[in-house]
Amino acid sequence: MSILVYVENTDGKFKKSAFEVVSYAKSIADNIQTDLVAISIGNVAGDELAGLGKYGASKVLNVDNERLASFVNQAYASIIAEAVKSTGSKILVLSNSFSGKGLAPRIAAKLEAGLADGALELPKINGDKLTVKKTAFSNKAFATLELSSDIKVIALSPNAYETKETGGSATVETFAPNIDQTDFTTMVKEIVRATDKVSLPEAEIVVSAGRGLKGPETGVWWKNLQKSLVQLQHVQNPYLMQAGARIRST
Amino acid sequence: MLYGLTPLHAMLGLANQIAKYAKDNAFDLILTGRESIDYNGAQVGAIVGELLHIPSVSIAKKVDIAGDAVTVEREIEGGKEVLTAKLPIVIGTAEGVAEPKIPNMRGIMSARTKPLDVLEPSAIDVLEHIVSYETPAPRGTVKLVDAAEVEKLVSLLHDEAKVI
Repeated sequence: MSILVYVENTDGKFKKSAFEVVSYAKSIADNIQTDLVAISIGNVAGDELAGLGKYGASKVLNVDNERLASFVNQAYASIIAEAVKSTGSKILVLSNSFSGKGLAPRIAAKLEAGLADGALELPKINGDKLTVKKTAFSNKAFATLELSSDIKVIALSPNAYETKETGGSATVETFAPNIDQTDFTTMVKEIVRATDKVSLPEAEIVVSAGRGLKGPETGVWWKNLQKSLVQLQHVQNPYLMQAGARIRST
Repeated sequence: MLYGLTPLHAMLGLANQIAKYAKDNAFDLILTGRESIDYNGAQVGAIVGELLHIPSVSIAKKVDIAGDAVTVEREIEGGKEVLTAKLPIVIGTAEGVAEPKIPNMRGIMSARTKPLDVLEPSAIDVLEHIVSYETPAPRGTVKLVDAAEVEKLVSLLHDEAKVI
């Protein structure tokens, strides 16, 4: 029995939330002493796929199909469910991202699996049962959810689990299940992304100032704070040295 | 109205009831909200779509329907995605999809005359349930830092709070 993790890409690249889910799934795999298999759908380069090994995946199933370059909820759900069956996985992990919120329930329904969405911590596994802490009441409380189904699906909240590099390597295999034409019922016409700022889930540091910033007269204060944070990250995290813009204000 | 469902039946149970009714009555368009305010799962719409084998779109900010062609604008990380589909479809609607209309007195009175069908839920498997709740740890004391002392704020966040 292995654990399967679905890894989202953005324009062929994996972002922080992708490494979070792989790191999280790897910790579960280590706890129950099994392998971690990842699945990627869309056009992602081989070295990018193999790079998931650094976060603990031992194998990456690659579904490279032009029709799946953009997110197609039904087709993606069918493919991932098929991968769960073919790998004999009892636990599927994915991100509780905007796409994940639409995807995880469909996969769970296909597999008759219990679903823990918005997971915040590693699950506790006791025999066939799994309990996991999740958000509830619009993040004003936490709930502990118990899953008792044979197959379990966990959708991890973005930014809830730190990425951990384990230094391994992953083999990449082509995975090409039969996809029913009736699964291609939606077509992406256009994707518009803000290119001048980092999306909130991807930001390393979020400064929430809200009304406290008041008017434009506080602009100097804000710029000084941003400068100081970037300088601090220069010292600590070389990755951020090249990306001061990764700090986003809300 | 579905009578007799409890939180223990969770999202799959709820979606099963809706899907069963929708299947029997052949709806072309099923609208749900973005997510419930208790468990914030956003699951029901997607599961209904799966059970009915029709497309589902979550977190829709704009919906246009022309004949059987549907155009949906949905939120994604850092932007938006515009997609097309055909009816029938399930759409989980988010804020901004429509302007709330406050009913007038005539509407409120006429609503009382509309039929209210009470349905018995069908049998469902319980695959997950909540075992406990907890509230977040209470907030600690607040330190106010003068706007002119940005370096001090960064130092506190780094050395004391250890969040950066």
